[in-house]
Amino acid sequence: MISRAAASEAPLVHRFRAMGGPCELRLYGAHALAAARAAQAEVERLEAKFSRYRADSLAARINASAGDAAGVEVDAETARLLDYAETAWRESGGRFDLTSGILRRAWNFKAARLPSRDEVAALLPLIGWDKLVWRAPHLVLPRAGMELDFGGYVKEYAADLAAAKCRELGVRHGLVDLGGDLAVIGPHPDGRPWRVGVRDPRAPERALLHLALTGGGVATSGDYERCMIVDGVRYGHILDPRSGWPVAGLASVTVTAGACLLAGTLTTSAMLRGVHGGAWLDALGAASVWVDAEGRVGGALARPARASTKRAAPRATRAAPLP
Amino acid sequence: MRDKQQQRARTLRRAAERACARDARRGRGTLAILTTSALALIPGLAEQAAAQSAENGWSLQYGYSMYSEGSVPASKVSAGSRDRYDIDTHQFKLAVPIGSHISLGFDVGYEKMTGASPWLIEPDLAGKPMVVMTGASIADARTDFLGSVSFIGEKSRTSLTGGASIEDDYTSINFGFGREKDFNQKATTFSWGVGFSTDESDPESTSFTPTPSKHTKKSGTFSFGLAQVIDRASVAQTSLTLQYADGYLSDPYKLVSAGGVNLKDHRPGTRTQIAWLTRYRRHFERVRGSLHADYQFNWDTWGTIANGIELGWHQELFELFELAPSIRYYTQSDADFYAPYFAAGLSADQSASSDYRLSPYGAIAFKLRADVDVSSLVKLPHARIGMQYEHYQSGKEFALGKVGTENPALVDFDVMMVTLMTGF
Amino acid sequence: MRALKLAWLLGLCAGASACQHVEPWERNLLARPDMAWEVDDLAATQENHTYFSKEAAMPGGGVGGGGCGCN
Repeated sequence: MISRAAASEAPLVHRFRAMGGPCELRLYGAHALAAARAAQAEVERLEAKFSRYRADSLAARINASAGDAAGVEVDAETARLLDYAETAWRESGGRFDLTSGILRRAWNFKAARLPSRDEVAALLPLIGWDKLVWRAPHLVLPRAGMELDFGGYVKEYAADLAAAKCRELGVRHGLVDLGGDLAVIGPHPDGRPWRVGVRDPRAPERALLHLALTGGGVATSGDYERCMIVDGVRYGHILDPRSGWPVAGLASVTVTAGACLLAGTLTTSAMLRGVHGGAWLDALGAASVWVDAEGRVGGALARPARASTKRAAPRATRAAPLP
Repeated sequence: MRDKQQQRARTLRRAAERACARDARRGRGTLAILTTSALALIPGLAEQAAAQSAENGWSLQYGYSMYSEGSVPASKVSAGSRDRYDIDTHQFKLAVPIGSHISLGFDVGYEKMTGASPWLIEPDLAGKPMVVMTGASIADARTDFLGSVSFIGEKSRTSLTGGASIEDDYTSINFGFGREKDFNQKATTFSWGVGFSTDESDPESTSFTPTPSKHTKKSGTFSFGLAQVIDRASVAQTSLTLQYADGYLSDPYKLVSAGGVNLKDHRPGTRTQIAWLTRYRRHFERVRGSLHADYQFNWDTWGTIANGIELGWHQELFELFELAPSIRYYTQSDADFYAPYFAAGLSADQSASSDYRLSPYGAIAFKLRADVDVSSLVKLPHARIGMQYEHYQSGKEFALGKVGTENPALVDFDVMMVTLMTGF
Repeated sequence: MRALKLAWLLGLCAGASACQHVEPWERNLLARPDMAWEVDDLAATQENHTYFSKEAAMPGGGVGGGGCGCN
């Protein structure tokens, strides 16, 4: 679906569905159309490669090797993604963990059924990055039943790669939006920043505040999308790989960083720290805005608006400069 | 293929480590480490990080060098001390950012010289030129200061400099203006600059100088150059520098032997010089080494033409060590008014010099340099220790053209240097 | 003089046309410290000063600092 507004100043808007959500590219310039097609192809390539739902994907091949001591040999891109995952696992104190996906075998949010302690405990021996043998390019999932789930960061990575692809093809001004994960190619041609609303988790139709972006990436994690209430207790879908049980505390976190991938890793890791997530981001010096379960708003991006959180005035914030 | 990708990742990580040092120091280690790891994954991120790290930061450098000239062989000396110059140099360099677009620079150098220097050349009974050295050891010191203000724009840099070099008997004051502008998404950089210097020499009254008196000299320099990114792994730069000097350009401490009489070194009152420098850098990813190639051509109105070429290889080892051997070859023709000595005598006001620096010769220098990253040891950002050794040898046998008589005062020297560097 | 300038300009043009377009984000190798024009500013200053005081040629590459007695 391609539409181009009449005014020559308007960007090309290219929409498609991928990675389980709506995607939108807004690109300026003569190369916009070619870049949009290439960027979409890039996103689709990554989806095909890392989706665990596709039997022919690399992710499926890796997971099929679980229990086989010979393991699998992976390509360079996957190796770099695995290296990154290892770093993120270490830096998040073991919270950001690609092996935690199998907890969904016990936690079925659609059925709203609480798993037994034994059910969860039975999965824990199959969870933990440290249980893998990863020596590039060789990956071994030593125990049958182990799985890697790239879903935790491939969408953010895809947003960055799509933006890089557009730049490579000559686009200097544009924005990549993959289901809420954003990568900025460059500001509007006149230098104006992209204005991006951060959704208020307590009233999703309303913007909590607006970010003004000229570069870098933005990612958001929320606990409001999926949850279940059993016996009056709310169980969110943010599951701690170390215990197998949900972590509560934060309703939503948005982070701006030098790349969407970085922003996504930070939001995920912060959510997994529960009530301490916001303080953790602040301590890192990350540019974030978070809303906790009690509705308190915090983070470096929200600070001037803290006094009146009901209708935060739009303010200009740059994506966090790279360290 | 895989090796190449790993190397790329490693290179990127190195760049990132530099870029991330600031945040790591502020306890923002996690962010820095994640960024480093992401650099290997996302094209363009490394460039952004490099751009961020290249932004206005502070730096502090200290250098110490020991320069030592070889003594003159007894067979070439007719009188005076055979021990030539030893120079110890201390240098400090500080850059401080004021806001994000202004940088202040302060450089101070101090050098202490001891030893004897060539005074004049006279023929022995067989007509062979012999050098007469100054007798007792001369001790002198030179201090130089340089202050600069740079205005750093997104695509251009402008700087103003002012400096002075002070010795007991020589003072030089200089001013400069320089501007650099980027084109082509910073693939091309054009630079130009002008400089002005005014010097005053006040030779001490010694037995070596017949009639000491104050002399002045003024010079103006204009330079322009172009740097260009050639491909992913190579860059080149070429620049032309023109200098015009007017005033007392002779050496008050040197004499010439003319028809058995010793006269003052006497050079023309003006000199125009051109230096054309071309530099090339290429990185070889596979071996993680970089080639440095520099070529310089010089020409002046005194009749000297010089060619210099320097080739160096910078090899990265174990990610924090760098070893760089290099070789420099230099050759020059003599000035029109140069002769080791003037057998027939000289007419009044005729230019004449027997300075070995204006004689025809060639030189070869071998250098070895090592750089070690010590950031983690000393807990300072981008802390580096550089060590360099150079051996320089000159003679008529190295000259490009055929040289009849070699100046007996030609110099060989060794330099040891240590630099300590830190900064964001 | 004139011939020199002409040769320089010709060299430039030939050089420029041989250049590949390198995107800013592909310049990570060029940003390496060992790809700098001078790996060590102080060592370069020192070297230039030494050559300047021992050889007839003046250092190129820009407008330098002050002179000296240079015995």
